[in-house]
Amino acid sequence: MILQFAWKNIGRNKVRSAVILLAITLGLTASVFAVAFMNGMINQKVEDTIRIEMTHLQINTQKFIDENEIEDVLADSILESRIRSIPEVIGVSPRILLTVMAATSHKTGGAQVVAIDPEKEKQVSRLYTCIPDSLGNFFSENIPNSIVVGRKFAEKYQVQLHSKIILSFVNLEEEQVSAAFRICGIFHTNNPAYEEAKMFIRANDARALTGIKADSIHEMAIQLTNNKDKTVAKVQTQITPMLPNGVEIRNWKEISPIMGVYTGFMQIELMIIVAIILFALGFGIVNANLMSVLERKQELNMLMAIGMNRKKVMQLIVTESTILTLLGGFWGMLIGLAIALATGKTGIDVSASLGSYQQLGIATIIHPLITFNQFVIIAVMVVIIGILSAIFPARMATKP
Amino acid sequence: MTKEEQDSIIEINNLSKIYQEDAEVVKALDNINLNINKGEFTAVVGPSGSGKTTLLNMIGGLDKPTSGTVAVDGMDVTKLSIDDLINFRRDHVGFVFQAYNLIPVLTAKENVMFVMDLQGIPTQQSSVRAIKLLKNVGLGDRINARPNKLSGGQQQRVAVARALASKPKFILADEPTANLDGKSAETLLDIMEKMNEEENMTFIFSTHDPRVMQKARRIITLEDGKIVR
Ligand SMILES: Nc1ncnc2c1ncn2[C@@H]1O[C@H](COP(=O)(O)OP(=O)(O)O)[C@@H](O)[C@H]1O
Ligand SMILES: [Mg+2]
Repeated sequence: MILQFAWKNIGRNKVRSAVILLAITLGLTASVFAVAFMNGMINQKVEDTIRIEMTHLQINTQKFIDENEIEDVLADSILESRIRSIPEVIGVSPRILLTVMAATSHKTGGAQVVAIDPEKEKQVSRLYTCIPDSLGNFFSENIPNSIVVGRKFAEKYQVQLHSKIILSFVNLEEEQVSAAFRICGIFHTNNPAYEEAKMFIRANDARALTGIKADSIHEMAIQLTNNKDKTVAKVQTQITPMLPNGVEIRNWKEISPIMGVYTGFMQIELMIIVAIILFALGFGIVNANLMSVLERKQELNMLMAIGMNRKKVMQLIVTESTILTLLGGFWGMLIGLAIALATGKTGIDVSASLGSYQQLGIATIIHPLITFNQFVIIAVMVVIIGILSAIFPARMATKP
Repeated sequence: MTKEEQDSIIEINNLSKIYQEDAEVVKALDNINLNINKGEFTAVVGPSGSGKTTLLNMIGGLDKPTSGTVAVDGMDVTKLSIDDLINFRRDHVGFVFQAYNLIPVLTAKENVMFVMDLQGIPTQQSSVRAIKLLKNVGLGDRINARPNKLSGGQQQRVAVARALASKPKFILADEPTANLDGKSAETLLDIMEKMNEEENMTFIFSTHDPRVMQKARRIITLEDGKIVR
């Protein structure tokens, strides 16, 4: 009865109800799309990091993870091809990882060398796209002892393309060895620490210098078709039984917990933004409800005179507000979702607005996306706002 | 105990209501003593500002007196809390106001059903009763009309039907004919009289219209908050 009565009351001032409805609809469309867009941005950032600096999955021996010693290799000649046969896997790169001292005429310091097969590494990392044309390439010419370093390293160590770098490290026999490398490419990322610490050489050169055998590696980096938790978990469990004892497979969140924390934190931040939008919207709704109540104060007094108790009158006002909020919320969320889905498919090109901030190798197309959980949380917030914004006007209604 | 005392449903003792606004003190009701018996058809008359509305509001539990008591069937309603008073009005008092009687978004029938819904009477039952009551007030063909499609007199007849719907102990009507033309006023009074005779419903109405006064079987005259006759 209250519901029917509330519905009829909404219809009596059609213009005002329509305006509230429109405001709520727009607010929710904006909220849902904003969340979806920022999700897309976060995903893009994570995606970029995974595609350039990390991979979805990594296989190492537990000992290597703990101690990082050159002899902690994993030797399995068929593992690579078995992993490649998994449909979700788009690339596998076996790597040798060396901790080195790098010396130039200007400076000496520690660095991490990733020794790779360039063609396989290109399957798992887009780093090769992060080298501007003027700064060389990712091992395109077949020159032995070539090295790719980062922009930050080049700046700090005052080297340019074709400059010489001396790398010294301990080989398998625990002897100190050193060799000269020539820079064939300088990569740019938006992560200075990564640019300074990581350098790449060919695996063959590393094997010749260290004595590591042809089927022995420190790490197998695996790239997948997408970074959905489900996909990653599925492939991870699929590979785990293939691994020998003492060998571990870790996903990107396990490798870099801070990335997981970052995405989780951004989720909270997003919901706070939505809460703020809805809160502002709530003030508008309070105002509209108040007008509606004061306008028919005489009628509400009559209702209480003939025996409608204060609780029911409050229920009536709250129901009226909730119906409007829910309707507006429903349409707004639906439209927001539709826009998010449509733009999520095609992507939104933000390169124009990025201007000079554009980064080589970083995608400038954002794919908005909203999760079911976020959608539900927003819906719950809408209901709460609808109820809260009616309480004060409802109190005014029942004041004698 | 006389027969009259036995049948008395409203007993008012030493009732006073004083309004105080800034320095001005208005004695709207000044030490009223009054008994109303079951089945009475009573008019409260007097010039504007004499306290008619205030008296009816006290009897109906719409306002609290400054002093004195109003007992309905022996229960002092002046002691009830706000929420108990609302329930008291819902279950025991029928109201017909001068204006703003009906809920504009509801039809005549829904307006009559409204109080019964509040009382928790099942829809089917209240629907049947609403139609019967609307027929009794001569609006059998207007049950689905909204108030804005009804004339002033028709609206007041719906209000009478609604007042009857909750089966109250008595019906209070504060100047129910004030906004009506002579003919409508007469029709309304005839209907009230019919309900009084057929169902022994107690009516207390205020008026300053001499033609309406004529219909009353008892007249209480107020002047400056005092009963003068
Ligand atoms: N809420 C109020 N505040 C102050 N004075 C009031 C109020 N209601 C009524 N009065 C005063 O009380 C007196 C009686 O008013 P009322 O009962 O409305 O008279 P009637 O209905 O006979 O015209 C009048 O002098 C009126 O001005
Ligand atoms: Mg009056």
